[in-house]
Amino acid sequence: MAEPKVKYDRQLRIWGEQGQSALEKSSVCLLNCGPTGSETLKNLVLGGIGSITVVDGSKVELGDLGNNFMVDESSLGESKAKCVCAFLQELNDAVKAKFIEEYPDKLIETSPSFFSQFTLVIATQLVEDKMIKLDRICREADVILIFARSYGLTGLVRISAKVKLRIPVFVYQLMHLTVVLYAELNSYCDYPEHTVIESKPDHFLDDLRLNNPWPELKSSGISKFEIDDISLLHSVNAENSFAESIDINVSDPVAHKHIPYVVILLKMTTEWAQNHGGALPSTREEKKEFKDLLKSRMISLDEENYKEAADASFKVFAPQGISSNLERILNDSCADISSNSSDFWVMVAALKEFITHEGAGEVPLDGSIPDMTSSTEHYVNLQKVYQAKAEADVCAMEKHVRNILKKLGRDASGQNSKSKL
Amino acid sequence: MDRIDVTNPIVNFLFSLLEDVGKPKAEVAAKRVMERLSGVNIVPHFCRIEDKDLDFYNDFNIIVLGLDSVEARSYINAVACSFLEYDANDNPKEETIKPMVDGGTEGFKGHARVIIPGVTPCFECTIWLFPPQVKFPLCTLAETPRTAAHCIEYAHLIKWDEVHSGKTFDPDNPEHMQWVYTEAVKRAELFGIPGVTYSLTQGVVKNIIPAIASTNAIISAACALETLKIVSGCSKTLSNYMTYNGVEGVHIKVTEFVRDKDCLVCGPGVLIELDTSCTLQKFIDMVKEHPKLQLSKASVTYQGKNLYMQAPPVLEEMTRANLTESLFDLMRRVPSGTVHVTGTTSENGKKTSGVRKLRVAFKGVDGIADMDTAGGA
Repeated sequence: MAEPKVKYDRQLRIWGEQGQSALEKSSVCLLNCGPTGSETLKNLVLGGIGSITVVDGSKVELGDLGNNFMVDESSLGESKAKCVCAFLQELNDAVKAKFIEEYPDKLIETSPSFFSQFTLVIATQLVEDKMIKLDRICREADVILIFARSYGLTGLVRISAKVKLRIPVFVYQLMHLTVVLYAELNSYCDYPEHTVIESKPDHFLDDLRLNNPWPELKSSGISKFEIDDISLLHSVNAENSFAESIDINVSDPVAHKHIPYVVILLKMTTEWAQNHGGALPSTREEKKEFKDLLKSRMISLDEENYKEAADASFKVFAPQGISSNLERILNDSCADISSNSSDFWVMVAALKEFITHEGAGEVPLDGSIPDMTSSTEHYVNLQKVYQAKAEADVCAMEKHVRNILKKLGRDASGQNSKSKL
Repeated sequence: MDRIDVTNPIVNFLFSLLEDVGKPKAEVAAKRVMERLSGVNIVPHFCRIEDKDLDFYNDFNIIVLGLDSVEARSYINAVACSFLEYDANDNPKEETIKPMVDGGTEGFKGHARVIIPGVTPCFECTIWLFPPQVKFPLCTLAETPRTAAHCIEYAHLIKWDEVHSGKTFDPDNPEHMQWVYTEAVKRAELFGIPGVTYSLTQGVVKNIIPAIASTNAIISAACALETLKIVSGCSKTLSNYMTYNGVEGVHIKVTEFVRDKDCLVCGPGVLIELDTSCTLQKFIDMVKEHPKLQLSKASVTYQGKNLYMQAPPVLEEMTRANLTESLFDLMRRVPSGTVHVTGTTSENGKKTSGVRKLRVAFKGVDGIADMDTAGGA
């Protein structure tokens, strides 16, 4: 038997071990194991979901063989739930697979409490009045519900979750291959798993803080507002002021083409600000002029670092700021925490504190930097400066979380306050 | 040609972790589906896609691509487009159209597309959709490594050859991988670079694409549905490129790309005018020199008949005598016709197999005037 780490390697590269363990802790109930439902479970079982429970009262008929891969001729006349469950179990023995031979409609009517044991219920091919009833049951029990129906070349998937809900509905209209996405986004969800997944987002914009460098980064001799504040530069310890020691006017061509673009941009910004009363390039003309200034400092045409600087110069012009999605979370009434707030909202409250205090309007720094043309030494040192800031930000966040928990009278010792946003 | 790897079963339910690791994917997949569904006949071919001749592919109504690289897609696309013929008005002849359905995934993202050669853009028409492939310059690896990946590639591409002269690196050999990992760690320590792990080493060296069963299911379902629509004619197909992105919420977009009128692959073919005396050997030389083709080691077929084959040796020997014959005679003295040329092209120092369709016209035959077009061969 392969190690789970090896077996799940390709998906672990997406959601990491925390994501995998969240998956392995969840239990899913499927109502009706027709082709839509069975295929859904198949994908969850392969990924290593904790447990599945298949609910279906029907027997396997001839018509099922042509559209459901999970049943075959030998299962004719047998319980469909049993056959589908057995097939799924064979795919991954790490999953606990159970079945209940019962019609979901009946279960909804007679045993509403049955559904509260699951993390999530997937209800397929239900009629409307049963869907409404089930929705009420699941909301009361705080169980996430997904409805799915397929009709020939069309179908729909709908997610329903308790109160602070988000109900994204999307209809994938296969007939004309058009996609309609309705999002009744009253608020957004607070599914706990959304807060623990170490997401590996696509980095469209690396957070380099070039627009608003912190003191240690400023010590590269660059400052937006305090270019005259020499004392600040001196206050920074020698290890962190590496960038300042970099002379971007170095005459050695090899050294010149190995200055990281981050340093070039920071220094050129300082120079610009000095000549423009402390302001950054803001108009279209100024931005172009700034780029031209960058180009004029190239000492040969093959200097990739200067090309990278010109391409990234927009990062100097605009503040990183708070994204609109995050803004909505921060402004949610749940962020005014009480003693029974979830860990997620405690962290949101801590984040709010951070942004107002240490962050001065910014979220904690992620700390990773993209690869860039540079000498090894400069790059590694630059990485350390960003890492140090990120670690300091995490410590500050941790402090806020502890303070908040203390105020709420909760035990802070077991809390994992590492935030990932 | 792939064999089942230990990471395949969790994304492909046809493969069993206990029984199938190391077996050919094609054979196991075919067997499993046939066991499950009576009356279905699937013939597995455990070989490289380039090993099959044009006739093999021409026998199918439709080609579905479950390929994993730009090169492989390019090759099959050229094969399918090579069957396409145009009438005198440069409209594609319907009976020669070989539709393709292509799909691919990476993590939470995927795409599905329908290619109707001559009607919708072929793979080559929209090759610009792919970003340039990231490759580290050797000087970075050797002199200024910065990231963990640089250290790994140094161990993999430079150090391995220095230490193991003549022994090829095998990414599937755990000992080899461990050696690269250990060397990468040493190098990273030397330069103070963080982040080298065994998992990253595998990822970089084997170029492992992250995968989730669900994204694969969504894309394969879209491909299957489009295939069903094409063969049954039951509904309008996807026109012509769908992107799926499930990273944040769900975003699905269908884009109608347009054909590249000058596409060398799905267009009517490069026109080559020849004297009736031109020998096959001279023609092959010409194909190598032609600025738009640059196909070396060319094999030539005409209407499914091999005029000259570079390999295998048996076929080479059988067709060698044709080299000194005139192409005009070999093409049974037609005024013009389409020939298929298979050969090697090299782009940015990388060699790939390619199929090209050429329209050959013979000067001064049957009322075809000397067109004397500029830019002809």
